[in-house]
Amino acid sequence: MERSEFQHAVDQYQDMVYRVALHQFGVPQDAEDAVQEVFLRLYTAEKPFESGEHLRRWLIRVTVNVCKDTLKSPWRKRRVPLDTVPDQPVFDRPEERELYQAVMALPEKYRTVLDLFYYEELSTKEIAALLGLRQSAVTTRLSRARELLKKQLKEVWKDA
Amino acid sequence: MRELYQQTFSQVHSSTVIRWEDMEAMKPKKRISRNLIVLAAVIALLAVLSTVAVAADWFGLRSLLLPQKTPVSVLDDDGIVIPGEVKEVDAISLSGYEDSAESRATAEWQAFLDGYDVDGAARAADKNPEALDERYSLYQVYNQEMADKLDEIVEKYGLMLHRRLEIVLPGSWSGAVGDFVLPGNTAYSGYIYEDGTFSYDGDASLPDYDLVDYQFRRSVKGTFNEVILNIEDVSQYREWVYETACGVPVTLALGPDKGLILMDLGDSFVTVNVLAGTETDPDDIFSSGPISAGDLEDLADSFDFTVLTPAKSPDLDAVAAASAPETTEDIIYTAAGVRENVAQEFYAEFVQAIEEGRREDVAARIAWPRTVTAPAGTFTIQTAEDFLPYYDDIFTDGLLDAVRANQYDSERADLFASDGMVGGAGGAVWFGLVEAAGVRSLQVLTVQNPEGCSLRSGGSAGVRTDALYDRTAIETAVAEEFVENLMQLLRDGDRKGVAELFVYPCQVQTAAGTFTVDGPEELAACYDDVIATETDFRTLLGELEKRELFGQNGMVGAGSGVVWFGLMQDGDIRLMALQTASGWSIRQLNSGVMAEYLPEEAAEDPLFVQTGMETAVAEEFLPYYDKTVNFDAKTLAANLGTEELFSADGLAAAAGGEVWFGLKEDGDIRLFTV
Repeated sequence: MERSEFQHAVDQYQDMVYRVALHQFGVPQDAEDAVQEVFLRLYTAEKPFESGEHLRRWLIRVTVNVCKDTLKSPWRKRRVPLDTVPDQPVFDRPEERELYQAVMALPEKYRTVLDLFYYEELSTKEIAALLGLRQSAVTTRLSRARELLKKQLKEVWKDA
Repeated sequence: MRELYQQTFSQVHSSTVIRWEDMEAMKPKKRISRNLIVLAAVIALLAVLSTVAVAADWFGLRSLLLPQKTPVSVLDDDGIVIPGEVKEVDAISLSGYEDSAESRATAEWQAFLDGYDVDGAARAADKNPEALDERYSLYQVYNQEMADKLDEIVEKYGLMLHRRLEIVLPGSWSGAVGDFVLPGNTAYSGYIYEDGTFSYDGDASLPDYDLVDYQFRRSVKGTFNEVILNIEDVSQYREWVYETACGVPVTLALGPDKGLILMDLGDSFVTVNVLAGTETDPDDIFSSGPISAGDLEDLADSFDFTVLTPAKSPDLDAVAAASAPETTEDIIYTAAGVRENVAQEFYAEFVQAIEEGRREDVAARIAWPRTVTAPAGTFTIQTAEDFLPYYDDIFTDGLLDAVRANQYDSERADLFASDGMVGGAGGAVWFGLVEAAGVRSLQVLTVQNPEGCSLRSGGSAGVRTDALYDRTAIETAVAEEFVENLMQLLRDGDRKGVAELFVYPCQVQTAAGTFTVDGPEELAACYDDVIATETDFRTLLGELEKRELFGQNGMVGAGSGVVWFGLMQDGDIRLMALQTASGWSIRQLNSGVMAEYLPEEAAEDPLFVQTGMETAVAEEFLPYYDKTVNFDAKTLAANLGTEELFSADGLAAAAGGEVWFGLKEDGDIRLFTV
C-alpha cells in the first residue's frame, strides 16, 4: 500500500476502528491497542482494495477478528488495568453521556451488534456474516440490547 | 435511536498516533516466536498425557461402555433408515460406570434381549401381553418369561423397577426437580419417574455459539434403567475433566458428531448428550455447526448440578396436574396456540422494524412465498429478498396509522385471534405459527394496507407449487391430515386403528425376529413389539409432530422417514412403513397396490416434475416467445438456442435465467420475467 493511501485510510477510519474495538472491549486502552494492530495489518496487507467501501468493511472485519483473538488470549485475562475508572469522552448533551454509559455497561455481544447496526449501518445479514452468527441471532441480540437500554434509559428512549 | 447513537458515538475518538514510519518498525519479523515454541511443547505434552489418560481410563468414557457392541440401523445421507443394513457401534450405559450394579444389570439385560426368542417362537406362543403387570409396560417386556428374567436380574443386583412415569412440560421442571437449568438454557418436555430419574430435550444459547440442542438424563441409583446411548466409536472422543461454574467436576467428551457431559453425583448419574460435535454440518437442524471444547464447557456451566443431589422423589400427582391441560383465559392462546405475551413481543418487534425502516428484517418475518398485490400487478413472491422492490407498496404510512390506532397503550397492541392466526392493526396484519424445516416459529401471513395493496397466502398466481403432489399425487394438505390422524391414533393407543392403515401383507421386525402378518388383527396383536417402549412411542410421535413431509419414489415420508405412506389404486392413502427408535419396523410387501402417480416418461422428465411442463412443451414455447417480443431479440435468440432449460420454484428458466415462464391454471404458458 502506498504511503499516502495508508495515511488517508488512517485519517478516515481510525475513529471507526476505535469505536468498533471499544464496543468489543469496553476499555479504551485495549481499544487503542487494537487500533495499532489493525492498522499494522493494513500496512502489511498485500491485496489492493477495490473501493473505499471495500476498505471500510475490511477494516471492520479485521478489527472484529483482532478483538476476538485478544479477548480469548490468556495473557489479557491476567492483565491488571492501570486505571480503575476508564476514560470517558466529553459529550455535548447529558442524554449522549447516559447512552454511552448504558451501552458500555452492556455485555460485549450486545455492544458489538449495536455499533455495527446503528453506527456502521450494516444490515443484520452483513453483521451475521461478519460475526459468524445466524441472522436470527443478530436480530435477537439487537432486540435484547434495545430492551436492556430501554430499561436504563426510559427518558432518553422516549425522546429518541 | 440511530440518530442519537450516531450523535453520541461520533464524539468518541481514538488518541493513538498512527504513522507510516512506525509501521515498518512494528512489522512482525519472520522468526519462530517464543510463544509458538512453548505452545508446541505444551501441545506435545498434552498429547502424551491424553494418550496415557485414555489408556489408563482416567477420564471415564470407556468405563461406561457396554461390554458388547450394539447393532443399529444404517441411515442414508438424508437420515432415512436403509432397510436391512445394520452396523455395530459402541454404546454406553446411562446408569453409571461399568462396575456399578445399575450398569451391570443394564448390560446383562441387553445381552439377554440380543439372544432371546430370535426365531419368534416365544412371541408367537404368547399373544396376550395384557396379562402382564402394568409396571412391565415401562420396559421391553412382552411375555411372562421376559418379565421373570427382568425380575431375576433386578433381584440379583439389588435394584427396583420403575413403577410410574409422568410427563413434564416446559416450565414445570423447577417444580418437579428444582432450578438446575440456568438462564439461556431451556428444558423442554420430558418425563420423570417415581424415584426422580428423568429425561428431557433442551437447548442452550452459548456465549460464542448460537444454539445447541441436547438430551439430558439423570438416572437415580437403585432403580433399573435399560436406556443406553449410541456413541459410534469411543476412540474418536477427546476427554477431559472440567470444574463447572457451580463447582461440580464433570467429564467432558467431544467427538465428531456428539459431545457428552457426564458426572456421577453419588446418588445418581447424569448424562447430557449434546447434539453437535467437532464435525457437525453448519446446516444441522439441532445445532449451529461444529462445537468447540470451550463451547462444551460453556454448556456445562449452564447447569447447576448441585441442585440435582440429593435426588428426591417428585410429587408425581403434582407433576401430572401441572401437565394437565389447563383452562386458560388466554384467548389468543386458545384460538391460535400462541401465548399472548409471545404474540405481543413478536408483533412489537415487527412493528418496530417497520417504524425503523429495517426492510430486510421486516421481510424476514414474513412467511414466504406470498401473493403480493401491488400497483404493478399481482405476483407470487418466493423470498424476502424478492419482496424488497415491493416493500414501499405494502408498508405505507396508511398501514402505520392503522397500527398506531390499534394499541391498548405504549406497551400492548390490541391483538385478537381467529382461525388459528393472530390479528393486529385492526385486521391489517395477521400472523401465526408456521412450520419450516422442522421448526415452528411465528411469521406474518397477511398484510393489507388502506391503499388496497396486500400480501397474503395463495402461493401461486397460477403455477402449481405443491411439490409433494408432483412427486406422490397426494396434496400436501391431504398428507398433513393423514399424519394428524395417525398421531391421534398413536396417542390414543388405538392399535387396531393404526393397523387398519397398513397395506397387507406386511413384514414385521421385532426383538422376537422377523415375520409376516396378513391383516390388521395380526398386526394389532404385535403392535407392542414394534412400539415396544415409552421411548419408541415418544420418539415416533416426536418425529411426526415435526410435521415434516417429503416425497420419494412415489411415497410420502414423514419425520425423518420413520413413517411412509402412499396413494393406493383404490384412491385410499395407506401406511407403507413404520420404524421405531429401537429399530423395530413394519413394512408392506405388496408394492403393486400403489397408484401410478405419473406417466413413466413424465416421471423421467425433471422439468415436468418441477413445473408441470414437459420439456418438449417448454422448448416449443421459446421460439414463439422470441417471435412475439421485441426485446434484444438477436442476443436473446442466440442465448435461447444455446442455453439449457432449468427450473426453480415451479418456473422454467432459459437463457441463463434471463427468461422465466410457467404453467398457469388455465393450462396456458405465460412469461413471468424477462
